[in-house]
Amino acid sequence: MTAADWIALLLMAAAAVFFLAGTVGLLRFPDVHSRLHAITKTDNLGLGFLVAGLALQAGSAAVAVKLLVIWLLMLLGSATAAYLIANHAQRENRPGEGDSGDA
Amino acid sequence: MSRLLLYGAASIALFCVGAYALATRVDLIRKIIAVNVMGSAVFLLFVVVAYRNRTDFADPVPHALVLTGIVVAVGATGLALGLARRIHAETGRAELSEEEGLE
Amino acid sequence: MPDLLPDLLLAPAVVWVAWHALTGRDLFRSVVFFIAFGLLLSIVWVRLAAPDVALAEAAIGTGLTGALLLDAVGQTERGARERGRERRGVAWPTALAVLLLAAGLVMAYAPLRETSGGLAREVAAHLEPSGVSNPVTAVLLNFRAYDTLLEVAVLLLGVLGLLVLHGRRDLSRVPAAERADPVLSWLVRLVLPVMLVAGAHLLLVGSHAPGGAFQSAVVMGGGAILLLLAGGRSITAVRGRLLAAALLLGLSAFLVAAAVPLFTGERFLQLRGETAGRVILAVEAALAISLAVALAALFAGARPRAGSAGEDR
Repeated sequence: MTAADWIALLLMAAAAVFFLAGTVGLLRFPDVHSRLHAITKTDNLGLGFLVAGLALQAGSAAVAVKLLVIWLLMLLGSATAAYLIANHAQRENRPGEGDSGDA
Repeated sequence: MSRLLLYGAASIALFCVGAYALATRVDLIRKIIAVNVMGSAVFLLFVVVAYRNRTDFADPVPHALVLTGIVVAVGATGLALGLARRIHAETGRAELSEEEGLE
Repeated sequence: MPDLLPDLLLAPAVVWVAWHALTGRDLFRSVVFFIAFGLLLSIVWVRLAAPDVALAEAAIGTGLTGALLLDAVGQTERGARERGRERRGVAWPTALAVLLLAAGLVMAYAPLRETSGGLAREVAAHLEPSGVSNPVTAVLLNFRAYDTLLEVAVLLLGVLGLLVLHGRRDLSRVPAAERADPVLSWLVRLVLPVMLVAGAHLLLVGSHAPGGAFQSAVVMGGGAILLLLAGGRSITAVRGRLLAAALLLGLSAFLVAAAVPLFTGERFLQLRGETAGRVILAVEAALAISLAVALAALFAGARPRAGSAGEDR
């Protein structure tokens, strides 16, 4: 394994840690808003680490750029989804349960 | 213990779980989900067989059949959900119940 | 053995998630588990060397079906979260019957475990003159194009069924979302062009890599659905004649491509030679457009008419 492989492995391991942390938060936090808080931040960052690790392993620059675009799209999507869920929960005034909104 | 065995067993288990749910659940939407799960179980079997028969690549004919199946399944699910929602709109309930004689 | 570790985790997980999708009281929870099921299944397809199927499963089987189910659950179980009863007295006999079924399936599956050849070699042998280099696309659009032709017709029948439910030739009476959320609108305006480009990319790349007309269609159809959810009208604004034309475009192109060989001395739907690749691409493009419209119509058509009892969005 080359140095790049080791770095990629470390990055992906970091991603796994972040995803795990987010899931623990999702399961343990008491209400929608704090769960959203845990999930979106850690998943975004985790995916970023994962993409970085994969980009190092990618065969070409084109693939690395595509991976980056995937991450950016996911950032947009998860931010919007989190906003919609939080907005809906706020409107319905139901902090106890995880409600899904229109998205 | 091989991939074929694992996923073949999963395919059988999925089909049986879906069949049980289809027969015992009362509400329409869960029945629709059950049919989808049974369909996916069949797809899994197809892809397992395609994987077993692989040379340079997996046997593409079952893959094409599964692709067709996925598209047809979503079409059927859409129509089924349209019908279920129409039933709900007309009668206020979304389940098949013996007392009402809706079967 | 370590090579199997993901599979040892995935296979039971898939069954476990499906079980939770089908049991329990809360319908919404069931749908969420079903979406997770689809996602895990996509990974299984990758493990089984089926990337085309994985793309289609993630987009159509999980994304679109999940959207359809969520849309339905959001309306039909308002205030009735405790749905999910079982039929009385039927649980044990059914369980017994299902166990017998399982035993039968296991006995049927056992002899399947030895290799019996399959068609991979034949496909590889005929791949070059087929016009494309992705074997799945070659099978879908050339060797077994008849199946694909009829599949498109079946999907159109589904859309037709929904139109009949509405009693109209278009979807103009499907209500748009009450409030056009500004953040969602902004996102859609940003992301819709990306989705169109991604759809075109999937279409073009399908001739030599995983992808193709169906995956492309669902991305573009998803864009139209997203537009609908963001308060725009998209598919519901398309008038009857235009809708019919868009839906029939793919099927017609396919039929034309199928019939032309009859006039040049070959058989129905026989695609061979240098033109095969170009014909396949043209048919796929028409199919992608039609299917995108069909899938968006499927989503919108499943919604009840404006003013009917079930609509309170």
